[in-house]
Amino acid sequence: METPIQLLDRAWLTPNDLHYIRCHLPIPRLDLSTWNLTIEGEVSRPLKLEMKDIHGFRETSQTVTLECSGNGRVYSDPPVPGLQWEKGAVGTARWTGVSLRDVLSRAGVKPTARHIIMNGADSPPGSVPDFVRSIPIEKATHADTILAYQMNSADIPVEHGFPLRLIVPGWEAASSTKWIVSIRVSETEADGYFMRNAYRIPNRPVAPGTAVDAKDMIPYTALDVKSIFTSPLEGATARIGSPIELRGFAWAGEADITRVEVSTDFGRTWSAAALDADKAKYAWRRFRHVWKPAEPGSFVVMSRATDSQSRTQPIAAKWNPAGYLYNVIDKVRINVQA
Amino acid sequence: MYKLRASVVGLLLWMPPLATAQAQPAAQMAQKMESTCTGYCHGPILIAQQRLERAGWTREMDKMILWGAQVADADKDALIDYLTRTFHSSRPRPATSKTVPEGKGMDIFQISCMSCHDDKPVAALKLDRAGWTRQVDRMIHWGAYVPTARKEELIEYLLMNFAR
Repeated sequence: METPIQLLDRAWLTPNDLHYIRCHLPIPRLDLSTWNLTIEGEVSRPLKLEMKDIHGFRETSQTVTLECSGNGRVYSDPPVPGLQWEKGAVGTARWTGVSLRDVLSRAGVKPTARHIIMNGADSPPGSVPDFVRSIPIEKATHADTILAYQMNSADIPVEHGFPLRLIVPGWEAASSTKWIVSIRVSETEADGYFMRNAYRIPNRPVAPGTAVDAKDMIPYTALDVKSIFTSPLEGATARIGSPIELRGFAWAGEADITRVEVSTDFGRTWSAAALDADKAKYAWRRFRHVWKPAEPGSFVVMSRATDSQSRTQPIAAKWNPAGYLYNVIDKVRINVQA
Repeated sequence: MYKLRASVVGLLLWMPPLATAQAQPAAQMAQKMESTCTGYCHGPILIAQQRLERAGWTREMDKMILWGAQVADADKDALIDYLTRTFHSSRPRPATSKTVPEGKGMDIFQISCMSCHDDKPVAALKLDRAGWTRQVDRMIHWGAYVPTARKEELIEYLLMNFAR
């Protein structure tokens, strides 16, 4: 369920009831009195933690923009299967919990550890594969990777992972396991549909519509640089001489947004947009640009973000078979009336 | 192409109602699809969003069967035919961030109606409940997919926003 972008427009932090929701399996309703998290595998001291144990670790918070890596899939040409996200499978929340590094440290990670394999309490019907993902040990033990029990200062809503979810900041959101109940420290990455088949892109640009061999598909991790307009909407009306604020958000995974430019003349010329003061290491920046239309007609306005890794949004899409990581320059048509 | 198609649909909207006794294969196939594919694992909107060619629908069908969907052998090809015909790749893409009247049923309007034509021919009609019910039935008969459980919600939406 994606957030209508006019609702994203309201605030830098996305309210819990407006944050997009992506669940691969039916939502589990968990009882805190019986819930626990197991840490096992390549560790010296396997752990079984209740929520009171989790609260025993030092509390920490991260403000993180989570984006489904299929956000924008609807723009794939030719179309590809999957949830036809437009622009709103993205949101920003302040997540509070404990550093996963501290929890893993108590379990004593062995030198053989290379990955952690995460599983949530959501269970698949029939022969649907379980939603199991893994991340490399380096990211798992990064101080900013957290096990969160709060979303924007409230208990995490059930659809967002109550009572505990992993937050892997800057990475595609499928790594941020909801309803987490098991972490297996492993020498190898998870083996299953959602690692071996899903969340992979071709190892080189391919012609749109190409059937790519599985051996040529590679996983991706961090999000790319991207921006979207949240106001005005496609097809909006403006008036000659009346200033209209073009605004939206820009984000770049583990990198920082350094610049957002806006064009009001079909991409011929670009102007730097202003960036709001609200910022956090893994969170989006709001940009604004005031446009005073000088002539009537139908115009396409565009936004283009650049990040601290010198990445800039592309003009054309790099098509892939599942429509992941769409981050083309955003475009909105505005009709200017006399 | 999009505009041309919209105007054609606009004309079609004015055609007289069809005899109700006539067989409705599209509606029957929609029911077959709902009973076979939707329910516990996902709802009909996930299907109605897609725009795939036959090869794509065949791959999806095979994947779902592998994942436990109960599809009778006798129904498989007919369902792939229906899916390909109804949710084909040449449809306009959904445009949920486009400006249409907000309200309950908006998503069905966008997915069921605006995947063949834009809102102009709809806005041109000012109908009462009976009129919108006839139009929705006619569109279903002509191949539009409206989730059975949400047909009344769509009619209410049309009535609320495009009433006489």
